Amino acid sequence: MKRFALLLLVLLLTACQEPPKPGAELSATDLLSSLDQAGFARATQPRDFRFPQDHGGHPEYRNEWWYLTGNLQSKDGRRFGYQVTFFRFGLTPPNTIQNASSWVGNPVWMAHVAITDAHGKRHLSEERLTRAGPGLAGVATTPFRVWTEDWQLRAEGSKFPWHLDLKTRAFSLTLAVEPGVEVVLQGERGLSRKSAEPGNASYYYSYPRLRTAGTISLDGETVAVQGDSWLDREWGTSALSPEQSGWDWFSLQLNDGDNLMFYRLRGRDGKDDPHSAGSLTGADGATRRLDLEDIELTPLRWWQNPAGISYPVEWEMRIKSRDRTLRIKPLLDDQEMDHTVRYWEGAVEVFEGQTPVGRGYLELAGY
Amino acid sequence: MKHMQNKPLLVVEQLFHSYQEGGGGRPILNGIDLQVAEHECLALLGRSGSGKSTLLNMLAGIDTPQAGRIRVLDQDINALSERDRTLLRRRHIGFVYQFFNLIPTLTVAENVGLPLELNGVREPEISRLVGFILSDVGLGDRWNAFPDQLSGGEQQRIAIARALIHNPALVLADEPTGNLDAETGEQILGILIGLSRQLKRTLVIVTHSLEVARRADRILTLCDGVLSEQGELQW
Amino acid sequence: MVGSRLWRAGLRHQRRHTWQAILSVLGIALGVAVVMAVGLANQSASRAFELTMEQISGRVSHQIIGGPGGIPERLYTRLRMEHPYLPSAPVVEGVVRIGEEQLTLLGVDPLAERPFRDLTLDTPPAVLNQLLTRRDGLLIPAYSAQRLGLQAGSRLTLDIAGRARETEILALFGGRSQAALDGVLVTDIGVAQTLLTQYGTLDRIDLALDGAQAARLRGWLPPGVQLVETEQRTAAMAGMSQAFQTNLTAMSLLALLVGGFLIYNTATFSVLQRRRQFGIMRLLGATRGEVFRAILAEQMIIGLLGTLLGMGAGILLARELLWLVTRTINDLYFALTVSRLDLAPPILLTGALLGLLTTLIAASVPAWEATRSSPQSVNRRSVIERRSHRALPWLLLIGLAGMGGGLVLVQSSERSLLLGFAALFCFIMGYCLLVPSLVPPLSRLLQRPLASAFGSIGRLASRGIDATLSRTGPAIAALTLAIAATIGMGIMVESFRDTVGQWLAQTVQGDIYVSATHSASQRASAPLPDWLPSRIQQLEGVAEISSGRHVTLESERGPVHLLAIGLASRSYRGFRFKGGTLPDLWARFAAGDLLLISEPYAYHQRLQVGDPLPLLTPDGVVSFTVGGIFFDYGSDRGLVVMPRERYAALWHDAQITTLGVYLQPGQPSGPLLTRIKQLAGQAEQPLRVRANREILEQSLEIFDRTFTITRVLRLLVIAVAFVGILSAMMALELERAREHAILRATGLTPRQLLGQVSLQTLLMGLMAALLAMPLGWLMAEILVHVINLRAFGWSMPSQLSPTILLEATGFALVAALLAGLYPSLRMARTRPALALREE
Repeated sequence: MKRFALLLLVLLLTACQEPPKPGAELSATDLLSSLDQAGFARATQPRDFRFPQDHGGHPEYRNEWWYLTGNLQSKDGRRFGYQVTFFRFGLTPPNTIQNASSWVGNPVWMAHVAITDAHGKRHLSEERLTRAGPGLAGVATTPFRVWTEDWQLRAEGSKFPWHLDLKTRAFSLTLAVEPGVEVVLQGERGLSRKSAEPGNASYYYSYPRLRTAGTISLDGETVAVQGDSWLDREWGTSALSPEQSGWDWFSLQLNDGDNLMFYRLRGRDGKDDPHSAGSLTGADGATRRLDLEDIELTPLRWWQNPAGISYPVEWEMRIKSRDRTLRIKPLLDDQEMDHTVRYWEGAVEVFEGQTPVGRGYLELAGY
Repeated sequence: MKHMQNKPLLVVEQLFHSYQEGGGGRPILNGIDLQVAEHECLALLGRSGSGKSTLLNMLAGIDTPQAGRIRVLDQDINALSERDRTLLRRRHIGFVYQFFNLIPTLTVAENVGLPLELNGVREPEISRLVGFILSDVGLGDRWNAFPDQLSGGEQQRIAIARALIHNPALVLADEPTGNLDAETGEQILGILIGLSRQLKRTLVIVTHSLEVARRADRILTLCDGVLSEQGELQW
Repeated sequence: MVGSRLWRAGLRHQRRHTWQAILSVLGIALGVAVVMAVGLANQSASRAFELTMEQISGRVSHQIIGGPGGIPERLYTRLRMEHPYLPSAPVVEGVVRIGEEQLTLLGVDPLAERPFRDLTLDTPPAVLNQLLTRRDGLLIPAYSAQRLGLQAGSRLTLDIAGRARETEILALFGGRSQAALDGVLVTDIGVAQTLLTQYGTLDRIDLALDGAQAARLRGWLPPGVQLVETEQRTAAMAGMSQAFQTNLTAMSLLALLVGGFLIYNTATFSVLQRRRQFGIMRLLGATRGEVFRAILAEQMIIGLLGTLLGMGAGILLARELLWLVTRTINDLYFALTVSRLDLAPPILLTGALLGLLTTLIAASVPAWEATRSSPQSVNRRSVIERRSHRALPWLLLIGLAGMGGGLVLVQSSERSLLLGFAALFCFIMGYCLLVPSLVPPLSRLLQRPLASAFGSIGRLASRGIDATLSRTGPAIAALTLAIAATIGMGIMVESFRDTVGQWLAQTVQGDIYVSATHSASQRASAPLPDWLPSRIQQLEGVAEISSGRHVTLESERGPVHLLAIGLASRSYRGFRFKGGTLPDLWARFAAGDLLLISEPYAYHQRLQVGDPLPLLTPDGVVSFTVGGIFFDYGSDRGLVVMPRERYAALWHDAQITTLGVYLQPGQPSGPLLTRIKQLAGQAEQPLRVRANREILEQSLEIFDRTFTITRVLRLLVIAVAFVGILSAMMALELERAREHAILRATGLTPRQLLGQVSLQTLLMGLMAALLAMPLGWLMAEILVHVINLRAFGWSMPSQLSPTILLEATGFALVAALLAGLYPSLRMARTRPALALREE
């Protein structure tokens, strides 16, 4: 009798364990990763860049983003990091669908906003995900505006400064950014190849140092902040090739005026992909391309998120040509972005030996 | 007087009754006094319409007299509730009628066993007693027949069996031979009176036939609403 | 303490009189079957609607809705921008057809759906991609796909407002047995807009809000749209068909009532046949209680058998009825797909309980009667009849009280439909109790004419009825009830049809009408091409045209149907007003500050001439005044009429959906009909061009279709009644066996006997018919002036059609004759001697 009761109990308990239902996040992720490449333009040749037109959108290419990161501090020395990104994913190439409905054939926009509060030891982020539809998201050039629902990055007219005035549930950001150095075309005159396959590339330019000033509101308190930001602009119809599993991307703003960008593509076999590349721009604006010959990266420390995924959050970077070894330490270990897509994006401090020599942002994808 | 030797089972005092409709007040029973002793066989003799059946119904507690008292087994039946009268009837009275009054959708055995069932006797016992009494009336082999398969005489025998099976103190018979030919009637009467005597039951027979009445221990004549002992019969 | 012998005697009696038992079983079975069928059909329809709404709007607490033009998309954009944390989703909804079936097309944005619906959540990403990038991809519920024989990859042609659109089924959703989503096609919002050619607008915005958020949002909304609570709106929609469904239920209960009467009838006979036996049992000492319980038990077995049989039959019948009910709801109220019968246990249980309860009540009266059989009556027959005659004054009193009660109920219940039905039942029961007291005087009345016509046979016949009142009384009452029911329902339907016919003839003043076929939108009827009116006007022979625009406005009270009308000079005659109107009606109407409302609308909204009536326009609420109330039998939801120019100005919608063409006097309509059809053929979508007479015919067709259910129920009631009469007559004749034997013995030939019996049964039939007429007329009056009025808001004259009365009388006579035929034939053939034998 007792055994029967026990059996019953076991059955009841296991019956209660229902498999978790897949949420919408999952289907959106899969949707985005299943996007078709056919019909979109591909980045095969270097092109002429014209500004301010190229600040706008390039709908003939499938993916595009406006990526703004920055390190800020308040007057009383509190350190902050912030990230504002607008992603555009095209569902169908433009002009393939002639349709009077404002919902048909337009891209999906995803925006991420995050801040890192070093003093409070926290990282807060939020996402907006929507179709362009009847003006829910999009980009315009005159005046310059890129928006996803209530978040926008805009200018008055089409010139700098650009303004951010964003509210999330936990915090708000009001910033203005102004270029400190000229625009840098990454890769081969702006054509950044990601793998051997022709067309698996993007057009890529950056503003590696933008003077930033504004306020952050947090916990009912508004703090005046200032610092430097980095803007990345990329568009293309590319994806990781089957042998690539992800990338680690560094943007460092050194105190001596140098701005370094490097992305390391990781192969599935554990080796570095030869298409890893980057750039080093001096204060005078002179840019030198970097590749795996120039940069040696060693992860020093890993951080595991609650679900058990590990990210290498601390690094050693050896710039062979300058014979410098930099230590890159995160402002906070947990700067993970866990939304429709999951990645790690965080503010870092750069040290040489024990000396702080700069700041930057680190992005870890594919873990 | 033979009837005084035993206790009176049935005592009737000053019974009055008249029909309401039609005649308007002419009494059919006009001061009846009667005592029936235990184990006695009494015949009530009277013409048709003399009220003898009415009297019989009153003795059974079926009809209620307008005046007078009837005591059966020391109980004033008219003081009882309808339900108690029914129970009294169930336990202590048996009936034999001119038109047999068997239930057509019950077999012989079921008809005979009905009074027992009403009195709460359970099955194997009922069948046992039915068996005895059926053989007593000579129909032990007709258990499963239905009344419409039997002759008049056989049906009346069944009725007699039914009237006696539960050992009622009182058996009332209303013209028991009225619907039978002379020979069968004789037979039936013999069984009725014989079995009643054998089982020591009190029997009251109502009849218009002197021959029938003569078979009883005592005869009372009902005429003009009054009972008299073997009086003159005018017909 | 029910003795087994008592039981056995009873059951064997039933077995020996199998016909009677079977007829009893049949009577209850039919009654229960009808109640069950209607209950299940109604329940399935309501439940289907509820379930579908639950799936589609279950988590939607509020909705933003607009007028017939929908909501501008930009409102949604503004909402997302200014209230990013309120869960909201855009919805486009339309009506499409596959063959004869009407389905809902739901256009949603899969990325916004998570707080509201699970319909697209489990879609494989490849399918989702196709949904968002193709122009013709649909998702269909697995249940519907199975029913229609479709799979993923099937091509499907939809009829949208008359145009054929090709679509492809991308995937199925939901479980195969999940009937809740039957009839709902899901697609991307862009695809929906494309298929329905509805660009730039949404049908609604779904929201999940709490009270405080809702209040704030209400203040934020621009004029022209409103925030409604989903529950209220869904309830209002469900309520639209409520009256119709209540009516059906009431009529089914009538069938059960007739079935109950049947049981009462046959139980009464059965008891009377055995009164001698019960007398014997009482004599032998069975108490009243024991006899009562024995009879009741035996009748309850019949009732149980009948109930079980009825439940089975009811389920089968329900399938057919469901189709009829769904079709009617679709025709009259809203799109509803029900293909599965919901065998709801509560309904099955209720039906079973009703059957058993009816049997219990119906059988308890004769059972009680049986206990009254005193043992002395064993030998006396006349006591029974005397007693039943003695009961007459009581029955009369109770009957009159019942009818009086019914009257009081009608007066005091104002608008309650249920109390109206209660009053109807009181009247019916009261009258039926009166019938036995009316039989003796009636038979005495008929004695003379019968005697002179048929001699002593005639006299015997009429006296016989009176003499055996305990048996003839209930039989005549049952027949009366059934005939009255058919008369009542018949008069109601006839009056209705007549009124509708007359109303149509008056309203349809134009000679030729042009309209578009089914609309894809639930908010507005499909528009006619702009060039059509002028082209038609220019045709030779056309005197003038009237135009109309049919739309549905939203309000907190539910949808309001509006007809924006451009009147031709003859159109005015099409309106017949109830009561007075405001002075200068037409002038003020044309000026635009008066509205005309239909009678049902006035009734349901409790409006009178002169009352204000605010309506929601895109620019805010505008107040109008009710100028007059007109009769309208086209729909029970009500209609509001305003001039088309005014509507166009306020709602920015100058489209036309119907044209009425008035020909010059003397012009034959034939050639012009052809010309206009040719013109209409040039339009993109198919248009309907009909002559005046065609419209009348087709409208009456729809009317007849709607009342098919009533007709079916009427037939069923007649069937139950016939069974009842048959059983009553048979029992009666078998009772009379001895009497007839005596008659035969005294020299009556079989044919003469047949004649006597037939005469008697015919007489009973005639009496029932005569008695049924007042009741039938009374029932019709209540149905027309109380039930119809309260259910639908229509008032109409009740017309006493002699045809119906003759029909009913004929039926009564035929039924009685047929019912008496078999037993009397049997009787005529039996040898007298056998019958004379005492049982």
